[in-house]
Amino acid sequence: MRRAVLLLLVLLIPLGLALIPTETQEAIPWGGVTLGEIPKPPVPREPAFFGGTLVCPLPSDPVEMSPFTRATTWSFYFFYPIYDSLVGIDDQSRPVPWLAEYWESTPDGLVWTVRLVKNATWHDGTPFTAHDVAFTFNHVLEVKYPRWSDLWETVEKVEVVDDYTIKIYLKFPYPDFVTDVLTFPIVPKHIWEKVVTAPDFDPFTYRATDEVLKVGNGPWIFEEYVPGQYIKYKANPNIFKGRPFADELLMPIITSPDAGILALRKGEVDQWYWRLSPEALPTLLQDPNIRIHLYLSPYVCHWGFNTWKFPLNIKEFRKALAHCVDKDYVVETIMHGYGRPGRFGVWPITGLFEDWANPDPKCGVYGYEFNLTKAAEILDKLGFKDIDGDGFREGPNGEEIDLELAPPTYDPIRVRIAEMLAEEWLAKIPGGGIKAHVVYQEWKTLWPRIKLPPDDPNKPDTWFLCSSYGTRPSPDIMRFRLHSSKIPNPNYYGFINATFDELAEEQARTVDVERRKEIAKEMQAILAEELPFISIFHRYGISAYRVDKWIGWVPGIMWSVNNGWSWWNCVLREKAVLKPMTLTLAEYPPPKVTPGQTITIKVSLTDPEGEPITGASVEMHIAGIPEVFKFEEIETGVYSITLSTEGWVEQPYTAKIISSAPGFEEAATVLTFELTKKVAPVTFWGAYGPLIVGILIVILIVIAVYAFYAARKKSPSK
Amino acid sequence: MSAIFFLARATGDPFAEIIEQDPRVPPEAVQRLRQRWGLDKPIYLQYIDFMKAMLSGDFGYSVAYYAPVFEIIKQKLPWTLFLLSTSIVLSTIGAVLLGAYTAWRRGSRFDLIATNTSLFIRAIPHFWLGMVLLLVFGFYIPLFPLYGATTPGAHYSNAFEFIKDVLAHAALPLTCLVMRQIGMYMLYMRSATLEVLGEDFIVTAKAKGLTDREVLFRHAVRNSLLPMVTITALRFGFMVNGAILTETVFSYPGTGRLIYEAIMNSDYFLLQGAFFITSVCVLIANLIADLLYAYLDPRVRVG
Repeated sequence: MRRAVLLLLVLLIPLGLALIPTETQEAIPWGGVTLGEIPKPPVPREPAFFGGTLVCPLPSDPVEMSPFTRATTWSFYFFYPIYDSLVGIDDQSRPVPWLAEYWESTPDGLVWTVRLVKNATWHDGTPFTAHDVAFTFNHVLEVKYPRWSDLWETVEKVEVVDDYTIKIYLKFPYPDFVTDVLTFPIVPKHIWEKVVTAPDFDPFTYRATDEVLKVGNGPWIFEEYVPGQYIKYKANPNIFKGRPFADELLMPIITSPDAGILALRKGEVDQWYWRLSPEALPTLLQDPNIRIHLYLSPYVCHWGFNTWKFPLNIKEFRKALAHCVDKDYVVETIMHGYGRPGRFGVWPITGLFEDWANPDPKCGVYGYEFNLTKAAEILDKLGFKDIDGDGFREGPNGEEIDLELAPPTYDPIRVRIAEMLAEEWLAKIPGGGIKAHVVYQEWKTLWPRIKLPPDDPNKPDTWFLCSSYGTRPSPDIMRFRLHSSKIPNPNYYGFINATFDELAEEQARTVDVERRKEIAKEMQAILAEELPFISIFHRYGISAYRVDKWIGWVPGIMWSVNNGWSWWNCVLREKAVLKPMTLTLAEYPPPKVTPGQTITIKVSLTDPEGEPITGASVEMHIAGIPEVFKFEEIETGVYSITLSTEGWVEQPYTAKIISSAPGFEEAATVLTFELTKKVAPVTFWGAYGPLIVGILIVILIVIAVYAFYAARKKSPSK
Repeated sequence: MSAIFFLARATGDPFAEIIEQDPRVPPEAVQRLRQRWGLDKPIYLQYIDFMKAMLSGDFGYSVAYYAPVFEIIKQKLPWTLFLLSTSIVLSTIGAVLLGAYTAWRRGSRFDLIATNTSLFIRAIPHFWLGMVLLLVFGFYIPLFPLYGATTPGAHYSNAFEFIKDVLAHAALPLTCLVMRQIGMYMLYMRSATLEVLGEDFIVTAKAKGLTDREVLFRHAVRNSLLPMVTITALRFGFMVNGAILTETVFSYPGTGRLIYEAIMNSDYFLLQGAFFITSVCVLIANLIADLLYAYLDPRVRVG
């Protein structure tokens, strides 16, 4: 009897629990993402400020001519002005609501409800509705375009609730849904329906015609494209967020970076960013109307190892190699400072999404500091010793070691790193170096070799590669590149770690941001411990733009000024009624500065009436130093900075000081100084000595030649 | 034809790049792309497909541009043809005149200067010459535009304006090409003329009391033109390939860059199409050269 009651109870308890009303499934506003801000224009968006043609060149023709197949950067640029997306990405790489007014997700992250703005229209006047969104998504789900895999791999189905609300059902919780899926461009149903149902429509080879391109929903209306020459757009007067200030956007195609820079200096184009090398900066900085913007590229340039091959299969051996890379030398000397050292935790890029980075110093930039003695200790412990006395270590069983270092020949930076490793760092380990040789191979030859399976004898032992780790704060990129199922491409390293795989799979389904950060940090710790490769550096991208014609450029942390926000916000400088600002250098360094000397620069800012301007932002760019120096306001209208030249290279420096304040035009000034030890007072011999010695030498040579000929003439000829 | 097929395939895998650029593209999707272009088939079947297509004049679809190959080449061909044919005509005339004259006045100061200058220009890298021209005549003395074949976004009220714009844009690339080509072909012409000048009939012509000019142009130049005809015809034949470096430096919309990018992208079909058109053009040019030979040199006609 008692037993029966107990049994009944046991059966009833779960039933009862099921009957108790559970916590109502409350939707998560914005799906839990942190929103960014739409960059603000310098003046209100009013007709008085409209006008002008903004000239933003492209270095190449757009390649793919359909928003669905677009893959190259140039095609992205081509379609970007025409088709808008539900969500935009701001200059800080955060999502901002655009055609979507609001979105929310269920707590499990499986169903997303997106509310659209009601006042958006297509360029032909047709209202923009949820049907367009559903059409675009369904078309991608049906065709499964390779570049849209984020969408068709995650989305189960799309449901139109009403004209301005749409429900998206996912196959599994996808934490990057907002930045990866909602950012796709939306195409008009009433135009594209005819396109995709045409009997000869082939999704992979379709090239949008002019008539199709003329109906978009973006801030710009496509006007014409002349292959090899230019693309032209005109401002869309009816865009829901307000029209761009410029009347026209012109993208001439300039295929040579040298011509591009000349055109920028001449004022024929308004910005240039493609292949702008640090060498061009001193000239560009000298022009007071040109501004420089540095941004971080998402590429992790690393030294990759084939972790299946002796001796690279030994973890401790790889750690010894990690102690042999002088990242500071790479960044300061080889790259002239225009880069940042990489982290041992690989992701995120140094200086970006820092809240996702594991604070453990081991995962940081100097996790394994440059220390050849430490490398020697590890190698000694492993039994790698120089047995035959040739200066290089052999394996524990006397195996010959000769590592192949394979950089692609097109990149002088990576070639130089490989050479430094082979000739200096690896060779000079105390007690015997590690023998290594650089293999100079052209990219087309090297690249297929890197992609070989790790057990293929033709795979290089080590290589130097730059791989993109994405522009969003998503650790999923580590899964895409390093999960063991991705061997050999893109997991070229043959990296296998069961814990890492589990964590990688877990983070891909974790909607809770804080939990995801924890997992990401654990993944970084594993990478820093296992070292399938060593992240050496990240490059700085450089873009330059003119401010004498247009103001309102939006430089992004991860992109150049050539972007949709800049096109939308740029105002003709003559139209934007701003008060001029006078920048006066109150204190500046002498033309010659001794290394290590501290220099102080003081500027004062005044308005046309001579009143000081407070609250301005004053910054300085110095060619050769990729850092922006911010001035501090020390008294009303006077701004100052003090910096030490300790550790600077002895060379001439060009510095540009730029001040900006709300309601005022920017002011800029250029100053040059030289860092040199030779600042001794000028003496007679110091100034004229070399000249006098030179003249003497010339006179002596003339006399000698003359004497020689005279002697020959006198001697009897044979 | 077979060489075209295998050369194009030696440039690598066109779809491997996709994964490198974006590792999130799933392999199945890449496989579907391969299928779409018939690149998943064994190589002998691809070869049969290729032969069939070429015989029917169908060049297929470009892998990178997702568009018919001929259409893409057609977009850029007129500019290349304009730029190169003008430069070939101008440089041939220049080279013939200069070459003949320097040969006639062999050893003179003029010969020395002209020969050395042409050797010097020949040694200058193409793109460097272009960059210097741009810097001097495009930037410091802004006589000519810095890029393109026409002013972007311009609308012309009459044909004359259009021609003026095109000529202004073509001026610098043309100068660059013509300078270099004169430097190259003047030496050919000079040595050909020198050979002819040593022949007996020149002595006869001189003995007849003809003026120098008559001897040079009526007797020497005509005979030394024969090798130039072959060279010029071949240059016309290879014209479709464009001039990669000049086009890049001056941002000129031509086929040279297109073909270079096709190699970098391993765009088999575009390469096959371009090579095919080139080989047809070279064949035609050779034919024309042979016909011209018959006209210029009676000996060939008899044989």
